[in-house]
Amino acid sequence: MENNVQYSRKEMEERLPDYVFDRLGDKERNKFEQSLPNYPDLIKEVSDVRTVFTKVRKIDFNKIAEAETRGMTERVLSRLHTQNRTQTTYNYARTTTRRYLIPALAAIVLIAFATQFIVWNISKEENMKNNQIVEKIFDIQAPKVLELSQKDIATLDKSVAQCSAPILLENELPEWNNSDELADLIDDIYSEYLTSFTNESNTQQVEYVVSTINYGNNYFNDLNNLDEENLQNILNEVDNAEFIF
Amino acid sequence: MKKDYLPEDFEIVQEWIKNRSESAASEIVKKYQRFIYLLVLRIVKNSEQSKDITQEILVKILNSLEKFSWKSSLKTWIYRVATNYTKSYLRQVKFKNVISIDADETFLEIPSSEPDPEQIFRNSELEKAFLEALSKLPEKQRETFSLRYFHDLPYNEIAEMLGVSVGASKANYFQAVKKLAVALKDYQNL
Repeated sequence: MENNVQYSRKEMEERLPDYVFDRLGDKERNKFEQSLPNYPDLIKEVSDVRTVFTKVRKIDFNKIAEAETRGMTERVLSRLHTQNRTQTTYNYARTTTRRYLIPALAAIVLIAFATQFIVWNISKEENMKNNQIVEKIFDIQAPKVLELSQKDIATLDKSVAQCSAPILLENELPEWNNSDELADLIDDIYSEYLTSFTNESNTQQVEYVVSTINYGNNYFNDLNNLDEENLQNILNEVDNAEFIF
Repeated sequence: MKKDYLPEDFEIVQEWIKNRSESAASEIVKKYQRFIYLLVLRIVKNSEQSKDITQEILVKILNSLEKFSWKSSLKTWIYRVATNYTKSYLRQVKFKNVISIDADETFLEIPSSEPDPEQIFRNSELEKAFLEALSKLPEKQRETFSLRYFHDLPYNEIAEMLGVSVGASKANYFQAVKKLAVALKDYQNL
């Protein structure tokens, strides 16, 4: 029943080459032949293809290919043998590498690392010693907490008022670009006085006192520009200030 | 998942993988050398180079068979390996050629875009014309025609090899045959 249904044009085209080259099964071939009269242009196509390919089919391509690939098996096997030998050599080299070269390299790396570590440690120890020396030096200048009683403050105020230390004027100073140096200079000037003061007081013993005030040039500019009245006002305010320690 | 493979292919391949026996290698080579050679020739269009490339492909295939998962037929896998290798070879040759032009060195031999029928088919004008007409077909049509006409492969396998549908393979085959018939019309009376 199905055999009687005819092929569409697309189905005919799909089967045309196989029909010409005798590769259709019996059922398909019969159906193709039954359907062919419906497509006159395909009748001509079948005729043309058949005429041309009758001659082409006489060319034995397989025979040509066979001639061209003669001796291929031997060549391929030879290549495989060569490759295996190379592979064996490579494997030997790889084994040798694994057995000797890699441990040697690892040892070199370890030694280099250990050497570097030791050098680093020595360097670190030296640095620490240097730092300790530096710290000791700076410890001297490190600010100490000065515990002052009300009595001490009163004494300090009195002493400051009687201070005979020289007053620094900006025009008497060299050009101070470094406020730390200026701070050191001021500390030097007043240290003697302050030390004598703290030794006299009843508070805990203080070895050395430095000021943590940042002595900037602007600070002195401001002080120098103050007139006498304003300066006295400030001093009065300081006198009346309540110190909480 | 094993699919559409020939039992004899499976046995030979297993024999080669397990024992590396020369007989298994020989069998694989003999079975597929012509298939590979004709495929390479269609792409390279030079007989001598096709022979060398075929040899390289066969060595590569034998070395890579362990990786073959049998998800397609062995022939389909070989077709893909051979096609990729040959196209890669052509790209390399073209690249080297460009480099040698820049360096003003001797030109490397590069396969001509035209076939070299004199080398392969010396028998008749028709053979030369046929090969020339075949080489001028679009790749899918040329390959479909070759795989069906020369190697009798079923459409589903051709479709798998070329990555197209079965219907497209049939249509390509018809178009190729039609174009070849037109191209060779003048040779009807030879």
